Amino acid sequence: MAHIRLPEGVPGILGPMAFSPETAKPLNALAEVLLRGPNTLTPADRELIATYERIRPPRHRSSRVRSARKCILSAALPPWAGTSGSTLQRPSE
Amino acid sequence: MAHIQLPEGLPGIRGPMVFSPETTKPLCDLVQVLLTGPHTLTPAEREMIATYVSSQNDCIYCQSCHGSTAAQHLGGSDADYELIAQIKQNYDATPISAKMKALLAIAGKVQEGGKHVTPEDVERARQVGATDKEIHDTVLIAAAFCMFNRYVDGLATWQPDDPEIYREIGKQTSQMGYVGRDYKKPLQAIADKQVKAEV
Repeated sequence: MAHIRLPEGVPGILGPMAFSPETAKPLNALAEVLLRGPNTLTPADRELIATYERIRPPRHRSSRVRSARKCILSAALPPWAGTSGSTLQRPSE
Repeated sequence: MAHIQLPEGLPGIRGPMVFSPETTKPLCDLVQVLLTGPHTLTPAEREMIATYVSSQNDCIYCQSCHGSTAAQHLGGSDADYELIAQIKQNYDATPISAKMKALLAIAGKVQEGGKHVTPEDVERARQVGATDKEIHDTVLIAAAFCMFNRYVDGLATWQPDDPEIYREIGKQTSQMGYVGRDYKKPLQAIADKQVKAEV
């Protein structure tokens, strides 16, 4: 359970962002410039930097979503997805 | 020397901010909302959270600027500066409110890592009157300053040790806030120091 009362059913940072739209606005603007604005690094490369923490399997929502997004951008399946089908499978943890 | 070529004579975050105006805008907007917007915590109290986290991260520039801004919001006396210095050393021994002590404890946990914040930390803050909004903003101020501290130190920016420079920054920021400022403008305290060095 979250430490404060956040909108229900909204995962990860989306909960606090819905709770606090006045801070969500500059945070989203920052992420937009950093990860999607014109740059010599591709959006996939920049999402990879955002994804990478340490050498360990992705366990948390934000890293998993970023990992998925990066793989979609580079037309590949994420490392934790099943390899046999085209449907992304939940990682077994 | 900074790790990349930054504009000269601009201390701390000001170098990278002038280097990269497109990221500076949302960063300034964020800190403006967090530290100066309408709130049940005073600007001085929010600057104390930023200062404490920056001191835990050992970021000289950020703790000096925001400590000075907090002190200026309190009145700018030597006693105000001393209070901020004591908060960095041991906030539990200072006369700040029980709510601020509980929020600084949460901020300190965020600095160690988000998962270090426990339900007990949050309950303690609630017991002394902290609202969800205050707890939310404490966590976000702490998280944002971990980012700012790493930005400043990760580029090895120039961080002067002259208290006069930080006194001037604190005065300016307490009066003008963070948005719509000309961060390229040289600081008078730095110009004075250069004149003295040349004489």
